[in-house]
Amino acid sequence: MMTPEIREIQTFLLLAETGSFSATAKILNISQPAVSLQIAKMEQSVGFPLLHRNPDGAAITAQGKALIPLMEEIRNAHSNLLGRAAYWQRFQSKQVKIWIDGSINAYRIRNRCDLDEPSLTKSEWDYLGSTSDWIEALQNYEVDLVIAGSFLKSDTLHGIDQTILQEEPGITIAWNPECFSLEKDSFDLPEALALSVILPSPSLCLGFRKFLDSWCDSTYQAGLKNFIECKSELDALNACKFGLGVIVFPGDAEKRMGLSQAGLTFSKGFIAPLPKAYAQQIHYRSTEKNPKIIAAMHSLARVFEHSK
Amino acid sequence: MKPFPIPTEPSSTGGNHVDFRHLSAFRRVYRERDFSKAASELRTSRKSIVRMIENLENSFRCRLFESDGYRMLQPTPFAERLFNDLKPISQLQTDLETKISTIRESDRVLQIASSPAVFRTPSFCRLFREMQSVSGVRTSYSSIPCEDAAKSLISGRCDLYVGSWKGDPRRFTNCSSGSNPYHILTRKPNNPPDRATTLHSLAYLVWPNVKSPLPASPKASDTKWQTIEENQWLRWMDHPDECPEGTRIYAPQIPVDSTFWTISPNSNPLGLSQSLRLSFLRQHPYEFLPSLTDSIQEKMMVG
Repeated sequence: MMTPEIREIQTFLLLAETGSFSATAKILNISQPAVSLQIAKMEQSVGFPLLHRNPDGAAITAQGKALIPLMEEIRNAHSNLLGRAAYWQRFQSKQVKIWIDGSINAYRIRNRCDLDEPSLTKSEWDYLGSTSDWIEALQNYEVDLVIAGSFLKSDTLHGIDQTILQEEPGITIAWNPECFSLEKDSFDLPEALALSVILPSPSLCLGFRKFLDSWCDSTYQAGLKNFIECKSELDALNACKFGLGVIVFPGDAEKRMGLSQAGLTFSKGFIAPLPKAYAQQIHYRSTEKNPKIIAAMHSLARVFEHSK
Repeated sequence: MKPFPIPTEPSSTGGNHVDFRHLSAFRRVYRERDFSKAASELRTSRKSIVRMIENLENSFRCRLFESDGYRMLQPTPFAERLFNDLKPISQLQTDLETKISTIRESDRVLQIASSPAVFRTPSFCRLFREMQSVSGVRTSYSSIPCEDAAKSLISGRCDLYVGSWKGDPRRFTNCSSGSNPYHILTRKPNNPPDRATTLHSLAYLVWPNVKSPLPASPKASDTKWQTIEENQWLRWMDHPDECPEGTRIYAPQIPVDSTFWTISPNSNPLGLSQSLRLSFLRQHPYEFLPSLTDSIQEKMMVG
């Protein structure tokens, strides 16, 4: 009896999670009969049924369920192995993998590197995903450096340290004066929050949405109702210009995002109580030993200073 | 300045050829330092070992072994790290194999099913006991009408169905384990007998709609049998008071209460019998099913 292959394990676990052959086939990008064949092969090799085949879907047998925890461990171990192997490969070929968020600063760094730091242009650049999975990706060696913003040093990131590029106080609220009649000087925050609000997504600023939600909850006993999450600062800027809502962004967004040049009116809040609210940072593994990666980090910080 | 692109998901890592069999091949080559030796240990060809190592090297974008000119292979630093890193996952695989073996040994259950009619026959009782002793696996029974037999075998609700059923038999392995003959029962008059003691002369034949029409009767003046369903017959067996006195029933042999029924002497004029066919899915994961049914077939035919 052969131990199941990684592909069979992935298919079976996916089937257990989705409960449907068609969903599994779509996710794995294979045909439905191919899914059935893999499961049948696995059943033959383990020697007992793994599924009950009903017309309305598949149900996992009790014996199948008993195998799931170990199989999940194997699946994770396998993908971690691929991550680490990719890391060693980069180590050997002296490559550095960098992810950036949708902030204007990060994009500026990337463009400057094309001119100032030719060594860094040989690195692999990519954008963060739509969620904050970059933390796991960094821990699992899928990426080496991540440029991302965070609000109020949110949740301890296990095994990850940061180099701070910039820290800014408070938050900034901005709107298109032709679309919203908010007063700049006698600004009413609850009034603004009751309108449609434009926020950064977790990948653009970790912890900001959480802060706003809990602050609204404790101060006004009400959550944010209408909001648009943006993955990039430019998207947010455009959304605000078109009157889709009121920008509520961390830090000194006025300067960072060029709000005045865009013709928006703004107001700042929480300046005194939160002097270092928003930090834009380069995240790296605490145990990082690769000199190329450390050097790349210093280069990025230098490029950022020069681009200001 | 270039236009802002929209952030998308990061590109996925490669590694479509990092299967466990590739990693096994790698571990073996690392230990033996020789492709041919690894191939013979794994009972495969040298060519396939070489191809698997090449696939791994392409997926990892790194060389794994270098030839040192003396036919011995030398692992690269990458290969050294990879070999060490495989230990935990290899342990997990061993744990999984152990778990699978444990389930095979002690957790498999053979679900046997049949219609209620078949269940009551003494032949079935004997069949079930034989299966318990021969299979060595826990057996359990559930009652499934014959029209649901195919569906239940396919879904896995039962592993083995006893008794014939209508439908396409091609997906299944079928073998006969004997048959149960019919006999004729007559409903005795009640004691004391009813006032109007004209005995009914109704004659019923229990014939589930699974087979072809009734076999031709040999005699010219023969009883006109009217077919009834198995459910109705069983209901009368359990509730004889609902059956009119004098009714004759031509049915499979099951134990009857002699207070209410007599068994006629020429009890099977048409030579009918109830089949105890065994059916299971062709590619059923229980590898012991074919040999089990073969030995049951032998045992039942003898007795």
